[in-house]
Amino acid sequence: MERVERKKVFDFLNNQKIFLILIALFVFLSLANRLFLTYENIMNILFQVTLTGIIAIGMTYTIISGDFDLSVGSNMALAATTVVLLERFGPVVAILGALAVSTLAGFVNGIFITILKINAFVTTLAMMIFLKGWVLFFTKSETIQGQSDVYFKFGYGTLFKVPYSVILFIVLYVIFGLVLSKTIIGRNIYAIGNNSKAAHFFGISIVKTKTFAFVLLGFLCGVSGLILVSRLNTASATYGSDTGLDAITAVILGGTSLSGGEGNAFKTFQGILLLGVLSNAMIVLNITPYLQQVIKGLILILVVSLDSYYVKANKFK
Amino acid sequence: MKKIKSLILLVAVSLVVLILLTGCGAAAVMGSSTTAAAADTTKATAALGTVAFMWGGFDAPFVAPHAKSFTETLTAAGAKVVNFDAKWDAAVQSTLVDDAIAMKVDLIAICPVDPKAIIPALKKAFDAGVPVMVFNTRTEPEGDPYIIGYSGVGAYEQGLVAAELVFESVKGEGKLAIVEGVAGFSACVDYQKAVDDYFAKNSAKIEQLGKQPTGWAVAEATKVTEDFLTRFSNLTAIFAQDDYLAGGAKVAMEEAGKKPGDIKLVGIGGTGDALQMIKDGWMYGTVLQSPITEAKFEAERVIEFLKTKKNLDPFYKYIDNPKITKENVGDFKSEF
Repeated sequence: MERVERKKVFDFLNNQKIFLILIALFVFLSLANRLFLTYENIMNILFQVTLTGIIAIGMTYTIISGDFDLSVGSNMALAATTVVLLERFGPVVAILGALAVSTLAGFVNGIFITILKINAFVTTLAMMIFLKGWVLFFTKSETIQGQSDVYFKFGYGTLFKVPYSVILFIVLYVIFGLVLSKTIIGRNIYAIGNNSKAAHFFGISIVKTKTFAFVLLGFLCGVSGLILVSRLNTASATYGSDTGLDAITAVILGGTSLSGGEGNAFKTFQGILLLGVLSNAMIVLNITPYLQQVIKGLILILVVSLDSYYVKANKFK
Repeated sequence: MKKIKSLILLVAVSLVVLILLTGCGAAAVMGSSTTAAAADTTKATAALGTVAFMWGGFDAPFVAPHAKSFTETLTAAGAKVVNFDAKWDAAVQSTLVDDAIAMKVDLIAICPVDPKAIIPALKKAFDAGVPVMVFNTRTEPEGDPYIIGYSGVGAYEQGLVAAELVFESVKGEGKLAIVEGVAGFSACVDYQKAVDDYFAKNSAKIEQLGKQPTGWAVAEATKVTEDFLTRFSNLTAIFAQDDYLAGGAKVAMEEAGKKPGDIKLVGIGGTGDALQMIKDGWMYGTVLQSPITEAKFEAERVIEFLKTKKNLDPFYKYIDNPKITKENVGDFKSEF
């Protein structure tokens, strides 16, 4: 009985590796610098991870289904550009236009991958270049500025001292986390990620399910683009260059398997939080920028290697 | 079971040791006199104050000597420098300003990735009572009420000098290709405006055949120049938006069998390699922008503020942009 209890505790801890590392980091950084564990700094971390974090929700869906999307950064930049360009028609039209454009880009990705059966790497890489090209075309390679300050009310506004964008970030995680874990479409995404052939024979529509994942991701890129404009009131082709890689890193760091079939939104939330805390830690500890990438890479390798070890170990149980 | 526990412990310990070690290493690399463990007591040891130092990105070749010189000048004066790397992302830089505000630094010295996009962050710093000095790349005029001053180069003014060099090199008539830094980066946009304005004002018969971004990467500059040389057989001039890129362009020219002077190459910077290329005839000229001299100039303005706590006077202060050609290259020595 004691052995069973110990196993339960161990399994629980095993599933919460990232959470434990986060706690360890919080403790260490709080001791290293008293400014780390202030309300202002914690809110800054959450504020900073919002853009990539929202995209990471959608990326979780696509990775669990067995694919991924490299075009998210360009899609976010296109959404931001659309908002600024459509501003003269009013904020509602601008916002809906941006969401429509980014969702359409996600839909096209989904169709190319599921119906035309072009692999996700090639499809989304091409889409990344295509969308960035459009942004360069519309902005003429410059930064375009919005004329209205209305979006700042969202970008810098707070509710009970919590930024609106952070509230939106958490709400989206809750909603889409529940969709993934509690709905049929969520279970279908796991099934396809585990074994797409078996899922097909069970009657799950690969086309509809995977396309849904890409459409959702496209939509969330649009949301991130809107938040970007609400903070900067500008749009540029230089935005979002590293967003795709950061989003994928957050998802993998959280424990979602690149081979598909495993993971969840809560784990991705931990992953994005870990990335945010690490970035903040390196500033707080004044670590030279030249070593910051080295450290991030090393930590990613350590965590992913450990996770890979557990996955392999569990396969033989 | 024991092995797995050991692994968990190993990961946790590795993380802690890694951060500690690299934190201690940071001081030696950046020339700062403080260690990570002392970061919290900075205000006690750094008598002059703590400065948040924000380049657009630390990976461009120009930035490393600049950052080192800036840090050394401020450290010698008794200040502490904390580095913030925006990785050329305007949205990231905006949030780094929030970090600096939370850290309660005494001043933010910032080179904006985007001179428009940074303005809301400057306002936030202003509202929080954290003074900001902009260096190297000016913000849009709307940002001026929120800063204590600007110090550094005038990218547009530099561009005019570079355009003058191009004009002289081809005697007002020719075919030009441009090896660009980063598409959309404000300094690059200013360089292009300056070239366009200068050519228009002087009725230059110089056709701009193409422009390609390189991400400030030398290897990319070589590739881009190879493409230009393949596409445009009648190319007579190349403007590389910094001397490191000019070095990359020179490699491509050599590989294509060009001789010194076949194509007039103009850069910006005044690197040691550029001075040599001017002597050898590969480059027609360059515009001096020593990162070391510029950094000291900007750091001294920061020190001035930290001592007086008054807005900088003059508000805009530019360093000179002398042109270097074969005629005067002997007057300059290699600094970087």
